[in-house]
Amino acid sequence: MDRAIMLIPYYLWLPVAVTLVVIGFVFYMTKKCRKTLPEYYKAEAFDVEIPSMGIIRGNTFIHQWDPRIKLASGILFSFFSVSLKSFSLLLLSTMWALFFCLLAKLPSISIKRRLRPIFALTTALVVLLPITAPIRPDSRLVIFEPFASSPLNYDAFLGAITIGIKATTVVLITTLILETSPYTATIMALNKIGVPGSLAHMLLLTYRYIFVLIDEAKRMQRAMKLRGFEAKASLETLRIIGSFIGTLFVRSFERIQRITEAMEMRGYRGHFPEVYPFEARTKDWMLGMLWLAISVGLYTTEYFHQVIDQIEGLQ
Amino acid sequence: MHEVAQIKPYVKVGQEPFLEFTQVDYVYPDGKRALQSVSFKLYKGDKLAVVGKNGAGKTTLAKLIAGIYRPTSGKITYINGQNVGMLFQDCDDQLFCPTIFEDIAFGLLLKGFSPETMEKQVFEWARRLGIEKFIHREPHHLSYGERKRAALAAVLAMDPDILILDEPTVGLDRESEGIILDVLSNFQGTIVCVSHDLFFLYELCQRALVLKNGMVHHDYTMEELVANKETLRDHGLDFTFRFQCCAASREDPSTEKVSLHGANTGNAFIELRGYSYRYPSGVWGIKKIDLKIEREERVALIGENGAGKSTLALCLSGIFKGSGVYRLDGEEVSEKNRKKLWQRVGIVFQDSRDQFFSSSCFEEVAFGLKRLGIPKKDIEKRVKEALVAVKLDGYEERVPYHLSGGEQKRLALATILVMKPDLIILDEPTNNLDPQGEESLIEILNSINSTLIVISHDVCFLSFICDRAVILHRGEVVGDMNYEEFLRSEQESVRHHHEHGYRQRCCHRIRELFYG
Repeated sequence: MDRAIMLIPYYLWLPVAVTLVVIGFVFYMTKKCRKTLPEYYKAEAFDVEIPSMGIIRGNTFIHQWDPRIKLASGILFSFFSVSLKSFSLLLLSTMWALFFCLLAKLPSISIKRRLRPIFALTTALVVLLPITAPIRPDSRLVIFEPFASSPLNYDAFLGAITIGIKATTVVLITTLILETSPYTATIMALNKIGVPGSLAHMLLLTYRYIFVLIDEAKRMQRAMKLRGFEAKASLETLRIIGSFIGTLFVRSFERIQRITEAMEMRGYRGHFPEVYPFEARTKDWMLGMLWLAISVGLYTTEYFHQVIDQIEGLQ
Repeated sequence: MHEVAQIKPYVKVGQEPFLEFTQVDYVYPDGKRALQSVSFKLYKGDKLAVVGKNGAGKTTLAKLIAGIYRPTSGKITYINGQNVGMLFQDCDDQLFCPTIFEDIAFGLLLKGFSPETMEKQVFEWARRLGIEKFIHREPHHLSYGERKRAALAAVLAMDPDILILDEPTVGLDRESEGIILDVLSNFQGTIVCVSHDLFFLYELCQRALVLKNGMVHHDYTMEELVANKETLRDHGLDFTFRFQCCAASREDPSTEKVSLHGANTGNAFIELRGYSYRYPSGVWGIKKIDLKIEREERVALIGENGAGKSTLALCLSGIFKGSGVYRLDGEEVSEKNRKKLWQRVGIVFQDSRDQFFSSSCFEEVAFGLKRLGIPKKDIEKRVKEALVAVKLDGYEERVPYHLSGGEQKRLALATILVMKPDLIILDEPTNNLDPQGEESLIEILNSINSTLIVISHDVCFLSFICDRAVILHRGEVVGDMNYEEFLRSEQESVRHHHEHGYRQRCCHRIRELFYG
């Protein structure tokens, strides 16, 4: 069987690779030197790793969209998007999600922060999969001259890109949902569309207390460092880390008790009040229908493409 | 030996009590008896201070009044099914919603308020407590003082008949303390306040319930309590050492301590030049700080919540790496020796429990020595010495988590002292300490020869230890002076801002009562 092989001469790939490295280096250095954030972020963000979800800025029609319908539409769209195989349709779904993020006027920094881990994952896959994926008889190969003895799997490369695009779409949709409604409203909407109440309450409290827990752990870690603790591959280190985790657990357990007491003192008897009442208007339903139509449209288009391809194959 | 006084029941003639405790006992599930035969009556409009040593049963009593605990035996009678609200010691326990708005709205909505009324109430209480700017912020983005005020707003918005406050002033800067005191002074309902802060209690309350070992020893008026030196001493409440502070600063400038600080002396022990630290998020922790500290100098680091005091402490200890020049003992702190700074700099954290992760006090104190590579026989000797120095001899096998607040603080200090650091930084050392614990801490700190940096809002406590005040505001040094000079400027500012001067006012009034 003839194998598809693409040979890329060094005078083509080398300048591209060098340019990319230089651009990357310059970008990194400039960012390091500038390190600027918009004013509103400066005042409130302490932990860059956990994006803020409690504060909602903007008042576009997406912000006003009923969170229940928004959530259901987003989940359905994500589901249909990840089931697509066609590269062009996948890109189209990503564009649709990005388009709505732009319509919602989401700050680019919050999109970037959420996409950062996806880019890291995709980059790792793009680098590793073409090298490590097994080469089958029908695999298409790419050879970078003069490394003819180490061909790369082109199909694996496409697979890695596909994973990256799908993940990007889902993250964009998640960002759109989380950053256009208060976190509590989104979780309550989750409860309304069928997620058990206890799970929803846990999600609410988790978001609030993850920061407190991180802060507590950081303070303990600092105290350990200030008394000379350095993690080594030894039993002593394991013992100390065990004590650290145990202490953190005990403190968290005590805190849970106190939080329960505080909640009960303010009238909590098993359900959270609806701080943001839901109201589904005609335009909310229409927007939901539009998203559903787009989701089904993308999926149907791919289905018909496959049918046409099969028919053409038979002919 | 102090005997339990024959308690004269406090009665308001012609008034029905709001709440009545009759022979109430409380035993924790682990068998520890917290309260024993507690009886008293609470009347409408009472402002009751609950005082006593650490571990006397004050918080347990507060939780029984709040209905969080049920008495093991005895009876608690709420005459009209009163609505009780409680401000917890740790405000993070109370702010459990993603935003401050939702936190204040939580109780109101569960109480059946309409969304419109709820919103009005939320904004009204936020305005009264000066947090309207942060109403849609997440609690973890606020300073401690702002969070405490938000927690109080959430409780007060529910319009409680009885308001219970557990250590409301701990860790607060003067601004937050002033706002809270103003709001509480205008509160028409009944207040039960658990605190060690006798000046605050004196300003707020009229009546004091003195607890010892879970029993009510006295039911006094506040005047009776503060004027009774014997009672104060027997219950670890003797705060009269503080009289020296408000007296000395006011009347006797000749008692000035001589500060070693001289900004331009050549051989500073610590030298910061243009030193800044920026959090990864871009927020400035400290900005272009120029500071020189001499060896064995005692510096008070003062500033509002979020001014950058703790950030500066973490930079000095090498935990944070900022930009600018940092020299310790003439040697520039480079990336390489920054990691070894722990051998020379020790921090006693605000919450002592951050420092505990061992199962016994001995292990806890020995931890740092083991890392320093000290031989085993010397470790035992030094641990013993350190425990004696902080008056915890005999505590070797005790579990750190089971000690009282004051003992935990002293143990945390021992874990640092034992390593004999050149620089010791104490972050809010008086938090949760009873007056006896404070006095004992002052004595310990004054016996130490290391350079000291003390972060605190307690201006009076600092006057016993420090000879220099460095004032931070929004990450920058805005004042650096001799401590006596600082106290005098404080007096001036009190004269210009009467609302925050209640501590001095109380101090003078109590002195008059005390000395007749």
